Amino acid sequence: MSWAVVARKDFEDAIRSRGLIALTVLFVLFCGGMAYLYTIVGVNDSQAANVIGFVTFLFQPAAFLVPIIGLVVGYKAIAGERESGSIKLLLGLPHTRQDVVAGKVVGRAAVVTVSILVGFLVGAVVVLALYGSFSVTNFALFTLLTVILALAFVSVGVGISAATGSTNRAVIGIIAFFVLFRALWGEIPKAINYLLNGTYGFPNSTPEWLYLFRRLNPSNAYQGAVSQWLFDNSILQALFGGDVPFALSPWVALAILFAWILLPAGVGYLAFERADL
Amino acid sequence: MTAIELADVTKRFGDVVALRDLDLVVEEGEVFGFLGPNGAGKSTTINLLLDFARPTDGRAEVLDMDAQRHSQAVRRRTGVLPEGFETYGRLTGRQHVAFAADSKGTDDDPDEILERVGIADAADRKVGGYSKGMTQRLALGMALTGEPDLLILDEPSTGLDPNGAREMRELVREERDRGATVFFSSHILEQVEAVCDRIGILRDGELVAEDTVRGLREAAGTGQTLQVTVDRADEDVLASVRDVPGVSGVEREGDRLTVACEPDAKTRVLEGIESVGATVRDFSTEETSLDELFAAYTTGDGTTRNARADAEGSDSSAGNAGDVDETAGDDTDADDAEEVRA
Repeated sequence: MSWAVVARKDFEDAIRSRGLIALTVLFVLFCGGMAYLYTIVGVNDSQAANVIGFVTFLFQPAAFLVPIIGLVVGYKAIAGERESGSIKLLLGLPHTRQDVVAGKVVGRAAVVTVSILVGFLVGAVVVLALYGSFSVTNFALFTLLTVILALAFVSVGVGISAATGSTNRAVIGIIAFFVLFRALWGEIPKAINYLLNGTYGFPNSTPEWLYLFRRLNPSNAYQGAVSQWLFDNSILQALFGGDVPFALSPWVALAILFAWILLPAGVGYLAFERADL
Repeated sequence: MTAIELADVTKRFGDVVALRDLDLVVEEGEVFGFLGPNGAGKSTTINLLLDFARPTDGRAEVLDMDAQRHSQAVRRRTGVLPEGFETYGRLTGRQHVAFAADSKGTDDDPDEILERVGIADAADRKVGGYSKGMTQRLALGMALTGEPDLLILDEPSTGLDPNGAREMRELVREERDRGATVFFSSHILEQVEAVCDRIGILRDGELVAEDTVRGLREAAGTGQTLQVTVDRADEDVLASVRDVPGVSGVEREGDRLTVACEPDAKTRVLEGIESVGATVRDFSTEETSLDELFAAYTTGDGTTRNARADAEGSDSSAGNAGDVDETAGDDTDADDAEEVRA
């Protein structure tokens, strides 16, 4: 359980550094603030507000904010220790590099999870106080999916951190990752089509595989799972004549998110394992 | 059982060869001093032992286990004081040692460890506020945690004042008496001499010497330093001394001459001085200082003559040969500085 020792130390460090507090405050403001804001700008009468309406209001901003938080929380995890030299203290102790990567992912995932849970709990209190109705199941599901999204991006951040020897390169790495998946992801198949067929994009009809490709993006997988499970499956149903392919089911979206939790940290570990410190 | 065994280890970083066909054996229970100037490859060697880096060629074994494939098992039984490390500034000293104990799976009391390395009163302070010496003591404490079979200490005296360095040597002895093997690197010979059973000298990635301090001294054949006070130290006198067979160098400072020569050349030196009409007022001999011994192995073309000249030339303080022996302090052997009155 060597990774657990690493994870606990990392978590303690986050408490001491007030990183946990700062992040918790951020999520309290985000979720609680948005829950309040929704009653003013989302509905005419706060009594008409409900969890589903709040989630439709919140899930896109969350799909923007949470990845940034996850990446920022993760990028220094290992590159920072290599840069400062504390990695020598850490690996002078009997931890494997796998323990270090796993411990860092778990430790930082715990920090993000705690802060999201507290933030969303405050959000729930606001909803309870101001809204006409409250669905515990829906709110809990939304919270859970948001935590899973955060874990995926913590894994990406730690993975990039493990694969790079300096925090400068790790910063470039997470920015590149963010830009790629935020702004460029949808353009990739269009550009490929241009290279193959000379036409940019798919002007006539959207091929089915394109939906799945979009969904391989963790933020899109999150949004897909949230919307399909919580409120709106109708667009996809209309597209596919009532029968949404299994590949586009929210379960597959969830599996994609879990893959994003495991793979980036795994790839980062492989690079870290080979490195000279 | 061997504590450390390196066989034909080569480590390259790109075009730079950090270690070249290094063979080294450290037996169980001994205190081994690993010496060399900065950049000689000491830390690279230690990094290979701890699997911080992998050899380009050759094989490293620690405690009879492959240092790369069984690194975790190696480090379970090894206490490490790394070089150029950083602590977790926001955690306290006690948290650091507790972390080491948790990592090694022992129930050592952090407070006892901190007491042992002399920073018990700072146990609850954040380590970010520690001085360099305190940080070094803390890391030593982390290394001692769990009664390791092997201690690997990379430049352990870094940041320690003379008192701290002495306490560190004291701890090394205690650990050896407990049965641990101690492998420690330094670029300062006197610290190694004081506690080490054997010494290896690394230079440009190659082991140029491996012996006891006494053995190295004899092997280096650097002979003695003769200090002669004369009534006039002019060019005639200097020339006469230089002409004496067995003399490898002469330095003049006021009316005092420092002559590097083989032991049996002493009398001829004195005769040479008097043959040009000068009077010898006083003279004394000193055994070669460890600085000079060290330099003999690590600078120039490795010959005694050049090394001596370098050592003398680079140290501007007067009477440098004697200074070293004095700073070695409590552990200097009685025969390190014998004095012969005329």
